[in-house]
Amino acid sequence: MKTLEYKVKDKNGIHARPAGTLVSAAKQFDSDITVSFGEKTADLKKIFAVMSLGVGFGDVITFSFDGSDEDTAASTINDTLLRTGL
Amino acid sequence: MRVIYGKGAVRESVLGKLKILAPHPAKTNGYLGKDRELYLFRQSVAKAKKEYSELEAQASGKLGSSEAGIFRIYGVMLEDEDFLTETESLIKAGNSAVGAIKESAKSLALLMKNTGSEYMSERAADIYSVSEKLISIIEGEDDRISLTEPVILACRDLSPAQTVSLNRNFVLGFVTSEGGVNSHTAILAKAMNIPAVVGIGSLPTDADGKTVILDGEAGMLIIDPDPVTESRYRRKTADALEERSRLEKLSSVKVTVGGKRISVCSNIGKPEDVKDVLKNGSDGIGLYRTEFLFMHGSEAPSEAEQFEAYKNVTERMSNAETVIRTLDIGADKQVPYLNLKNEPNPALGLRGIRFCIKYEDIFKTQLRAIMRSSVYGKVSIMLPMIDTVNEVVHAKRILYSVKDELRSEGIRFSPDVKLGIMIETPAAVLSSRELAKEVEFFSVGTNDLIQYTMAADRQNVDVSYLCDGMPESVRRMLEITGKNASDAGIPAGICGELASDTRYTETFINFGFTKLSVSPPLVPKIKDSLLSLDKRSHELTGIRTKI
Repeated sequence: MKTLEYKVKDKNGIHARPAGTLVSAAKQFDSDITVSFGEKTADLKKIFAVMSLGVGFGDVITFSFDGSDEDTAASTINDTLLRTGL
Repeated sequence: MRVIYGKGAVRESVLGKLKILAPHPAKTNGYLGKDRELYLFRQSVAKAKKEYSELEAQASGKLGSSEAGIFRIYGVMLEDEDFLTETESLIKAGNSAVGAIKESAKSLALLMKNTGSEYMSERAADIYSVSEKLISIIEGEDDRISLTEPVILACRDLSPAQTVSLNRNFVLGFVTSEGGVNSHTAILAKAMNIPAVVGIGSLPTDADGKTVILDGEAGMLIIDPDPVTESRYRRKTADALEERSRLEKLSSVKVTVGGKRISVCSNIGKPEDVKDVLKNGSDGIGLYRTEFLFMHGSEAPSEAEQFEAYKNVTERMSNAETVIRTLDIGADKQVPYLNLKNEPNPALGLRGIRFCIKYEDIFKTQLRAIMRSSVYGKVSIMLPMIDTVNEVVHAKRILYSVKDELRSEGIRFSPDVKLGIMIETPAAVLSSRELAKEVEFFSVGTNDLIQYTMAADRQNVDVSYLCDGMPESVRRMLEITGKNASDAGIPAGICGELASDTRYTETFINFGFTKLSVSPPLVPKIKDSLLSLDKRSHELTGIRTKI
């Protein structure tokens, strides 16, 4: 199990574009991947669940990766976060 | 005269005939049984995915890959487990496919609206876009808009699909009752440069067929304009059309002066600027300032992030050269994560190439990203703040090791990437003969060169007069640089503000400069002044030429 904490830099928070990119990236992996914001957790492979978290600019979110490919998944998601400028 | 207000999405105005598009009435096919409805749903999802990927390709060609991205997102939405499961259980519970789609779209949209962010609530429009596409596929209706004459289109909202497939020849502009500044209608209208006003509320159906004025700058729809207003806008539209056709004519012109080809290029700071570069007929990008990537984060941009940006630019520029300047940063710029020490003299401190040589990791990451992007277009690299040959030699050594690394990792890069330097210090000018042997081109950064030469701060009101125009000493600096470049057989250009000062264009050409790089909207003006120069040079030598 790996976790990744991240502070959102995009002034629109997690909107459709980065949500879609993150979800597409997460779907490549077998591991269970979730993103948490405060009390709420969403499956990172489900775009509407992710979008409905209401994550905004400056919010801190935590990703967790659990499965056989959790290491690659974590580093791919990390790269995706930076690449989308989220 | 009636004025209706909304949000202007594109800062242009147009006068034309209004056409109101009524929303098509819902067709009722009748319930066809659970299995058939389930089949209809699944089939519509497959068809919609295919249409979205075609639209993505179409939009990518027209607008670039980042704008086209919305269609990829729609594809992801169509595959969402929550949406699919919810809709299918509604169908299995006895609802028609269309009814089930409407229901699950409604509950998902509600989820979005409840996040409390304004941006997210506008995303509810995305969900409706997708559900409407599915419904129109099931009902066998083509939701594309067909027009027979140029009109200003008014409708409730336009889906991205409809916006992208609009026949630009028949659309003078559009007005929507829904939509905010962040709606796709607004974003795509801007990208396609179609005048638009969104969010006007209810549509003025009684104005259907009337001549109206759409003012995208002020965000107004003017119905029954009075004669004074109408003639004002007619003049504005005529002027804008004239300007656009003038730009179009110039944009394809490849300028030569006295038989020598002079490139007129653009300076940019981020990928979004490329649209203006192409629109204004630039011969290439003479300066891509990369600092923007480094100034907006809590840490240095990763190689992947930089690569995406450079690739975006070089791809869209394709065969036209893109000169990427490596990080030119110093203590005077606010970059917290770099922990730059407070310097008493930042203008004379650790900046440009000096910074990159000290923080080699950051430099190498950037060089890797630039080299990787080189397979997508025509990339050149430019080093800022060069003083000595040693600095160039050092930087080249780092670049070679980057190339070795990439090669051993099996990552492709172009073998044709040229390396050049900024000439922006007196030291560089005075060593330009030796520097010309080490690099493949020069570009003069006149902003800094003037300040360092005149030892005066442009922003200090007491001494800024020393930096005005082209002081004689700076003229001599340029003369020396131009001569040493041409003696060594390398091209030299100018990318600072002085390049756009048409008082000195002739001087630059006489000194042997063959590239002027300016901010995108100034490209046509420079081309104009070079063309006049060419015409004059022909007249002087008695050759009749038709321009």
